[in-house]
Amino acid sequence: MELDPDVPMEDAIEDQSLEEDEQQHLSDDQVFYNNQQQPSIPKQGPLPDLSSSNINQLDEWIEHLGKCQPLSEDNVRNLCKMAIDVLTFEENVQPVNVPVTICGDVHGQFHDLMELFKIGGPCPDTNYLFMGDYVDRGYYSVETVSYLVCMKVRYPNRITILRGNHESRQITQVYGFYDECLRKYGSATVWKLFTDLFDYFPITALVDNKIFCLHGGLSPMIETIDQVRELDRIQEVPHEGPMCDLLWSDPDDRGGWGISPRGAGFTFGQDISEQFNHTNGLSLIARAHQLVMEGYSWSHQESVVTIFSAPNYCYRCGNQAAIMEVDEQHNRQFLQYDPSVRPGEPTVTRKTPDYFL
Amino acid sequence: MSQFQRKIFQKKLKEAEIKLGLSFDEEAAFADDKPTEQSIDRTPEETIEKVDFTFWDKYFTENETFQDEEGNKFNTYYVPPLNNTSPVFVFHHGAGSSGLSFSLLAQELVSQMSDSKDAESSQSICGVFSFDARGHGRSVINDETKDNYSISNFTNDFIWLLKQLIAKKNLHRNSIFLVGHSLGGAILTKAICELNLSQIKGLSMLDIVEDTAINALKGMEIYMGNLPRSFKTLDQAIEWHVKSGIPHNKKSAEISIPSYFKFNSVTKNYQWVLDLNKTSPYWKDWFIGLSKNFVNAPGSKLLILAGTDNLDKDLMIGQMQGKYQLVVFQDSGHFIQEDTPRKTAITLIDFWKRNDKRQTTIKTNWGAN
Repeated sequence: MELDPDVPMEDAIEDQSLEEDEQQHLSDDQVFYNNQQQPSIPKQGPLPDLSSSNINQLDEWIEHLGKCQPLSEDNVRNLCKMAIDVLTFEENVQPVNVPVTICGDVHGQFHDLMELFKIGGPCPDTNYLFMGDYVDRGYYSVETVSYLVCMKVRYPNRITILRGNHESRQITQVYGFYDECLRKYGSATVWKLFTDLFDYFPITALVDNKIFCLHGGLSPMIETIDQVRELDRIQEVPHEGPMCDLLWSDPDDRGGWGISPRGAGFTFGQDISEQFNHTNGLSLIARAHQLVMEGYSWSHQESVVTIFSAPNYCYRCGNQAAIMEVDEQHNRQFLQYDPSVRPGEPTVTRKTPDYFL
Repeated sequence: MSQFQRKIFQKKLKEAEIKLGLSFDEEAAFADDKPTEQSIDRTPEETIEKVDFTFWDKYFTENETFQDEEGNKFNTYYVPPLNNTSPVFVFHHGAGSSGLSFSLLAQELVSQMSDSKDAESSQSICGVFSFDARGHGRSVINDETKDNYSISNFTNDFIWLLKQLIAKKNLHRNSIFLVGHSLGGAILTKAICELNLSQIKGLSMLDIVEDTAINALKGMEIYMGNLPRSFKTLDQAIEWHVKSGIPHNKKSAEISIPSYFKFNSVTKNYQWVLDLNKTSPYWKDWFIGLSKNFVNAPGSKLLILAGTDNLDKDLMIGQMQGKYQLVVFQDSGHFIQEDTPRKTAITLIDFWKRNDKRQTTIKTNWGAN
């Protein structure tokens, strides 16, 4: 067990709002942004130590998953339970220390994730911050998300996993994770376990009070980082409102706020990014969500950086991937990489319809 | 392969498919193998009038013919918008289909956007316009380009029609949203790039992906061989289409399919208005470059796909860069507007609300504290 020097030793305060038995399924109506919401208050105090049997169990799972073999359904159930226990201690704006390596979308490209750890250095020797989108589109969403969640539970202070717009019940039913769970487990149970777990993922992180990290971008309803802390994040990603925006928005060349062509979130201009960074004493907004051909891309005169960590996205886009290392002095270095060599992907069989009637 | 060999091959294929349960009903399949087939050379008398599709008025309020200077006549369907701030949805059907393919979608749009819950007194807020493209439905092309089904011809027809519509119905101030199904999506993408008209606020394509379409071309010869040449009754024609899933929704097929046929009074059967074989030299050109053009087209864009998100490289990159909105209807077949008209209407209304500047103001609390 890694000893965590960062979590302040305080008396544990039980927060009833996060008790597991209070978590309910949200109906479609509730999924929409609710103004009456209560902020998600993290459990206080030190994270309980893992028992040695748990450590052994997790190490076994990590080794198994490292070979790109999925866990059994029962093991996924246990893993998700352990992960909820860890994630209830995390905040909407999870504090992270330097040095840290910041990563973007992975999307089920398991072999490329292994390549990422080769390029960036193994976890827990290197600290990692992932900015969401672990599942969908790639063929190994189950193995990818299981692996990252295992690492999170095993080394909770060495790795941070944020929520992306694909960590959602609705999106995963369309873009592959749901179907992959059905294919690999014969039922939707594992999909349900993971999507219930996704509700607990923190939505943003703050690296050394200077770099604000999140999956998508800014929201016209969020001017200060404190306003993120007031959100109730333990829910399905809503269709609109601040939590939706943080996971869906994109920076844009045009100034001010714009309607996002994606159909959710907004676009924000350089004036907005600069004002947000100024108001919150930040040096940078780091985000993922958009495919960038070189794996990373600066915008808004270096107030915003986009990081994308799925090379040759969906086995057809021809892009490089990148991760960003931030050292103790806040120096930044980008490491780019190409798709890993692997025994061969399952070929995409596409149904060809009759287009002419 | 000679004509004769091909016929034998196709017949064997059909028989095999029927045995395996892969094909449609036998009677319809072999209707064209009857001796009367030779009569095709005698240019039998064909009439469109015997095909009844007068029920268009359940879905549209006006059925007008737009005639251009060359004497080409386009059959159109229209519901006027409430006033000059209301949006107008303009549809383009795919190859082999007709303007009535959008009947149920038009009905859903009109009813969901009507200004009153009382059906009697309610008035549509949005306008809708649909028409039969050249060679389709009841449109009649007189000029020398009659059998020219190039995408430029379709696009020019559409641009002329849209300008006529705006002028005739005084829609100069209305926001216009283009909605194209299959080939119709490719035509509208080309049209929107050529038009550069600021009142066009959005473009929606229904189930069309360049790569998938071009791959589907490979199977077209077999598909065309399987196409019955005629049907004894319109009910058989409808039955065959629903069995083939084009569309799956029988209610919609009953509205749209009759407009695909004309009655041959010599052979006493129903024949296709459009001989799809005549379009085959143009197929590839219809789709080449479509994905790139769509991603780069001006204005807001929406792609609705049926089944899965089978995107090609250009659409995938565009989607992952947030260049357009992607929606997938897993429960729909290729004819999205006919199989899932309600969901399509809801999606189009949302798309209109987000992308028509008159409808959107971005609320912000920045600077409030």
